[in-house]
Amino acid sequence: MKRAIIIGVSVLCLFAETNRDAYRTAYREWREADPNLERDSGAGGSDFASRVNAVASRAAKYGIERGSFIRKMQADLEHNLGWLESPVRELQEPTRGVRENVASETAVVRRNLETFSNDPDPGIQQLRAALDRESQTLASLANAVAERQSAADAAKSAAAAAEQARLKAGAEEREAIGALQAAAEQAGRESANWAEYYRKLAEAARGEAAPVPATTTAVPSSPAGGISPPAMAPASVPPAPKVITPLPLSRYTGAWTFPDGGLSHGPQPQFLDLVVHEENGHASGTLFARFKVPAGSKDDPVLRFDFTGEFRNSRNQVFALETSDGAKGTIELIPGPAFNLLEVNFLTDAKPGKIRQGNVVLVKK
Amino acid sequence: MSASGDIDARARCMLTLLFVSSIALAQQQPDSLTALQQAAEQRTSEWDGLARTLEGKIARMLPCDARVRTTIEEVNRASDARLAALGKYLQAAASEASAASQLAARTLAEQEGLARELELERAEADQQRIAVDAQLSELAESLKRRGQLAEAQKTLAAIAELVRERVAGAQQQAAKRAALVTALRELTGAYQAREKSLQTESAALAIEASRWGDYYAARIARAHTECSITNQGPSRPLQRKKQ
Repeated sequence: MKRAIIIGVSVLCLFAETNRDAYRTAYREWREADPNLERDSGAGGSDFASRVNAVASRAAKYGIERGSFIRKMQADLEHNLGWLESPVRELQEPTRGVRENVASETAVVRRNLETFSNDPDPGIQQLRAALDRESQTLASLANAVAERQSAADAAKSAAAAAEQARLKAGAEEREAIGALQAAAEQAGRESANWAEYYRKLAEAARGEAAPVPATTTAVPSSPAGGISPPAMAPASVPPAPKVITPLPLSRYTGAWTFPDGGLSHGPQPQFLDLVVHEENGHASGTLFARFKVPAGSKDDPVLRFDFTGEFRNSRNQVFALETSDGAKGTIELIPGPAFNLLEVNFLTDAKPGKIRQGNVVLVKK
Repeated sequence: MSASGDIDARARCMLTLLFVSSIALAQQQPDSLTALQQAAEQRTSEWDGLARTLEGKIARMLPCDARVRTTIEEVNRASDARLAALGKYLQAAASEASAASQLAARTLAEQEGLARELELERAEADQQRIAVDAQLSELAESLKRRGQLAEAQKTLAAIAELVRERVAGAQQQAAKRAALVTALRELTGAYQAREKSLQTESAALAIEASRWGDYYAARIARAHTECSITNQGPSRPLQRKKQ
């Protein structure tokens, strides 16, 4: 059991490592991808939109990596300081009868000593000597009891002071966690704004006025940073499609794939393809994937399921799925920070030896 | 961060968590500490019951009645059992306090390292602010040729503001982390003081146990004297245990 706990903790630890490399690399790749983008945006050109897309996807990757780094830092802090939640134990020491016993025995000995104080009988003198020795041991004992009581009181005070210090450290820990939470939210806002910026940059360089998104419901696709959605569609733009989702349907529909070195939580895909169709507000699609399983594992690495459902007026779309083995479950489509990214969560009923859940970020084909 | 830095970080993390897990295993004993406390309570109760009635029982016996000695020895044994149970309880509590103290010290060392690393956050945010300002500047030039870039420029300006907020946020984060480190330092000191106070109490208990032994030996010696001066039969003085 002990061994299992230690091994488990060690494995957890490997995943708990906080490393800045991923987001720093993503940042460098983003910044080095096309340093002249803004300078060239005045000229525009036919390939400019694809240049913007390339930079936008790197910016999005940086946003995802940085967000996950901060969340991991937060989780590590919560985990590593979790012990602060345990209060300092106050000792309950039984002292019943100790002082009383010493006091009553001392009183008995004193009475006897007084009784025999002037008795010249040699036998009584012997008894007096014994009583004297007993009296001395009782006096030493009373001192020792008092000293230990004093030590016990000091230990209680120390425990109370430690508890106060623990409460204070716990409060500071929560503050630090709150700051990390705010940093994670800030990173999300920045990421959403970068996606918006590159979209507008591409549109502007194409000579278009900022176009209206493909769908326009009452819920605007304003990111958390408060960037307003584009104002007007030019006359040349085709009529906006039907109103279903707060984001353009193209943020969900189409063919998506798991890129090399892509982000995933849970089982890691070797490949993963997703196709999403929409017809009259009705969604249907298929996910087909092969996951990496540990060597020697008898688990089935292949997962295939179809899903259907209705698009709803919400950012995240959830549909019912059924795997090729008949397991039921749900799939959630979450538009990513860039228009060509889609996060997917799926969960199915448990079936022995089958992949039943996953979380991946896909790019549009 | 270099590859060796990764390994170091991983090793540090593993060591810490292994340590935490060992503490957790040690502290898996809230029940055992409670059991030790209950045992001490029980032994104290047993001793108290016997000690209270000792003089009353002996008073009804003749000086050389063999039961005088056995009655005192019975109380002495109960006293030893009480003190031993209390000693175990205190030792377990001291050992738990020591583990907590070490954990606090280790956590403090880690957090001090991380607090220094948080300086990087501010530096990175500042670096990004400079990069965004450069983008803004180039976009402003392009805007002169292409008016449609105005919306993009507004968004980029908003991003620049967010990045400036991040610089300030990083400073706040560093301040909060510094406050956490200070609190952990105080906590470590408090845990160490508690550990020391429990050790002091354990030492005081050992002295008290020795004094109780002295007392019961003296009490048996008196009983022996009471018997010998009445010539009613032999009685051996108690061979004192070495404490």
